[in-house]
Amino acid sequence: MILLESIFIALAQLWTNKLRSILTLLGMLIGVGSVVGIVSISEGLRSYIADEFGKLGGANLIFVSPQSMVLKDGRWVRAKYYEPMTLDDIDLVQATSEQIDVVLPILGMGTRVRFQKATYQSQVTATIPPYTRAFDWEIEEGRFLHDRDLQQRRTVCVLGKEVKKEVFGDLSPLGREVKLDNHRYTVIGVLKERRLFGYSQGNQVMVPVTTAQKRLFGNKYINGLFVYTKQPEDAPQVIPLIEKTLKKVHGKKSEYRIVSTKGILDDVEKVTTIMKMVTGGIAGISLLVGGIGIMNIMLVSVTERTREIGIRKALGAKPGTLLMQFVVEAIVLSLVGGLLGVGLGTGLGMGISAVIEHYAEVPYYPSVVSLPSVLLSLGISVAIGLFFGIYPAARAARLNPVDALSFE
Amino acid sequence: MLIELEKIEKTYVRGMEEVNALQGVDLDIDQNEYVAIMGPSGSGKSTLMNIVGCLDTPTSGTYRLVGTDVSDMNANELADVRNQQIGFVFQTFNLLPRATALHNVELPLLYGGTRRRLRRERAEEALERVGLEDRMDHRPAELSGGQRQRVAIARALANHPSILLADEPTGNLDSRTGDEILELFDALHQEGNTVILVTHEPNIARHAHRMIRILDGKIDLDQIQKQESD
Repeated sequence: MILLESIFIALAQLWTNKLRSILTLLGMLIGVGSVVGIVSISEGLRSYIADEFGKLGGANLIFVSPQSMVLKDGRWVRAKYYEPMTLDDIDLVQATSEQIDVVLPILGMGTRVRFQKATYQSQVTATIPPYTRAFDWEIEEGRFLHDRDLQQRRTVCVLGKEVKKEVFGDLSPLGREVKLDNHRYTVIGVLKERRLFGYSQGNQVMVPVTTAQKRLFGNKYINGLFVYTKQPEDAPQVIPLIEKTLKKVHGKKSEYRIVSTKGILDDVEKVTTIMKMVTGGIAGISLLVGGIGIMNIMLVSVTERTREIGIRKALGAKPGTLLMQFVVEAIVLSLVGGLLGVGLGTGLGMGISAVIEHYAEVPYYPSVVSLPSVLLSLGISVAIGLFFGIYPAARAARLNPVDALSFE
Repeated sequence: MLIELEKIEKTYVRGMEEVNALQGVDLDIDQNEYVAIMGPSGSGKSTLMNIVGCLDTPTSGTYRLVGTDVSDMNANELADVRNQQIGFVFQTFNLLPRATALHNVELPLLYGGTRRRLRRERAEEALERVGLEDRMDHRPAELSGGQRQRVAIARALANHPSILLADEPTGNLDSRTGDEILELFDALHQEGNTVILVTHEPNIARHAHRMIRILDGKIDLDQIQKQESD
């Protein structure tokens, strides 16, 4: 009952000294606001990257490529030993572990697509049939590549949505011939629209990797491999196996760059954690300053209200009751600052994500205000009010009633 | 016996020198007495009032209030005694400026742990007793001096204390309003309350049935007064 009364008294007191209260809780507001804001932005970054990697096949993806350049003594130098990968590596890598789901070749080049008078700068992706399944990319019309297309090195292609739109317009492209690097290819399918990290993937033309090797590249090499594991957590076990196999085939001295999305996501996690810690530090200083401000204003308040304290004591308020009244006042002050800070931080996060969406040309950038970070901020606000309010409150509680009543 | 003071001494340090404000005061006050404590400033009458009101404790001697020794009580126990036994009325009213009359009167009930509804009831009752039933929601600044002192008296009465302790209650009022306040005290005494008035004005002290004069920390005079109305 007295606690409730204390909260009313505290709110009335804050309302009476509006300007002073606002200036005092500014420190808390900025501290809590920056924590909530930065946490929401970095959480947003993390979930955005995780979502986009999800489209790539989630954290199951491992990227493998032979290194023609190696980092030595802080400088990039030509690798002493370099042997390009071939299609044979697909089966070899696939055989290394049960945990591997699919292995795809990486090979491609930029090329013009022509149909009658229309022409479009596209990206040729030389690949194999499991591609659509691995990347979770659906066919809109026609079909994707078949094993027979590869075996017979057929001159067929599957178009990305944009290529189809730019080159054929409303015309159905199925069965028609386009020219890629002056070779004729028959269109057998069109892929659905798809965006990744804000960029459309629709400018691609998929051709059988064997056909591309023969006609576009004139060799039997590939640039690297996409390896999909069955489970995201398999990557750390699978990576050394892949490296071992490749070194056995291509020579001990050959170097490979093997990166897993899980590794990238872990790196992102590290970066966002560092961001959070840095802002946590800044916010900590701001909260400390805010706390000292609260203590200062509470000391002023206790002095100003010495007479009020005397009256309350004369009427039977116990030291503990007055202690609670002033501590509650300090807590209410810092908690109001904290609540406003949560509002400010949320607004800040939303504003910044809107700015990112607008200027970075990203279709969406989430700002994630997480309940734990809000609760933590408010908890810290209460703790600061308690910590910095207890000394002024104790001064009020200890006042001698006779002296307090005669205070002018 | 309501109040029993035995060999009360109070010494405090002001600056470098020790002040012997009370030097062995013996005083008994009974239920339903109407006592005026007089004395020039510096005589020790304020110190005596503070001790009687349990705002302060004596350096030595014994003070029994309603049979209980209060001279060695700690701050919490004294707060309870003040809350339950003493109703203060001050010269400067000492109302909380931002609280309404009703809220001011509710304060001692709040600290005494009275439940909200009963608190309100009793505060309204006390305000009605002093004739302010239509001023309950006014803040002190919206009230005249006499009305403010009536609010203070209602606050002193709210918890039905054993003693009404008034320190120069008319000191900040014009004489006509002062008389009204004194009439109120007279009436409260008639209703059975024990009233102690601290004053330096003989005209005011005349309202009391018993007059005690303090001089240099000692009781100089303690006499029963004839009442004009008696």
